[in-house]
Amino acid sequence: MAIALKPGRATERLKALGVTLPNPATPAGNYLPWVRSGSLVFLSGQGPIRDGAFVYVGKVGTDLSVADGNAAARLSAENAVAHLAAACEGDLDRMRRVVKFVGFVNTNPGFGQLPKVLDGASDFLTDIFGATAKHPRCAIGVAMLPSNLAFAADLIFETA
Amino acid sequence: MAGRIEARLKELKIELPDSSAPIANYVPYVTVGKLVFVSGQVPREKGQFQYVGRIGEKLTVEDGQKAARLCALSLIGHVRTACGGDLDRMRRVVKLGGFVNSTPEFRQQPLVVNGASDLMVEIFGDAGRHARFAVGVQDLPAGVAVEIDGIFEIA
Repeated sequence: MAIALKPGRATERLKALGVTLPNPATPAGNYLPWVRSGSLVFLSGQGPIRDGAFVYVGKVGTDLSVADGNAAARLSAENAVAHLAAACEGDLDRMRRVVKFVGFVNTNPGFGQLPKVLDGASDFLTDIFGATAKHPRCAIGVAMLPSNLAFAADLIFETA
Repeated sequence: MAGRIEARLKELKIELPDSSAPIANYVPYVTVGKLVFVSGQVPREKGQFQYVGRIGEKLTVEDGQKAARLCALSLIGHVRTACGGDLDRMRRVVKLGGFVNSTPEFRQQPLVVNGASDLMVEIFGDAGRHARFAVGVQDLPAGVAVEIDGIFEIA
């Protein structure tokens, strides 16, 4: 179930951009979607899923275009923000900092455009939260992801 | 800035690279409390990508180790900035993540990532000993052979 967002700057921004956050996905195995430790929230890997449907499946560069990959990264980040909302009792304005983002792209050797794919998530986060969402990151091309999804995002947030 | 670690760098004849600017919409590091989270670093020298290719194909384990060492130098360069220029504030290398662009058959990722791990211990001694992982991947930015990210504790 999607968590009800409290009114605030981030919620307004989502509305202005016409974004409806996906329902946070249930974990695909014996793990939790997120764990809070003090002010840090550690999320499980998030993929391009919307309300149970696998939206971007296949390898970026062959099955899917770079633009698709970028959109897959963005949708993965939307799922992450949906879980973050749950970790913040619906108050996204408690987001203080995007601490770290690792983006895994399902691709072939020699693909060469990983940063462009990851930008889909990085741009979304900065669009919603502004400068506090600027983050360190790591771009990785991998041979396979769960259900052959095109992307997986691993994120750490700092919250109030 | 003169300090114990700067003296050690001089002794080892190591010059840290200028902290390189990220190549897309992200920042080189974020500090949360005592922890510094650094972006994945790729092997660069004077701004140029080095060791482009896959290990086990065009490049050898030794190439990979040299690439990992360059990644580690970049990490330390960013930590120095995060410490306001004083690397004596570096308390602990907490965690390194090693990604090796390698062929499916290649099995020696740990040896490759040792290029970074060894450098941390060479420079920082016991404080340079860390937890880590080493995985083989299909592709990395600019097609380089190794990417390494890190978490550091500072005073």
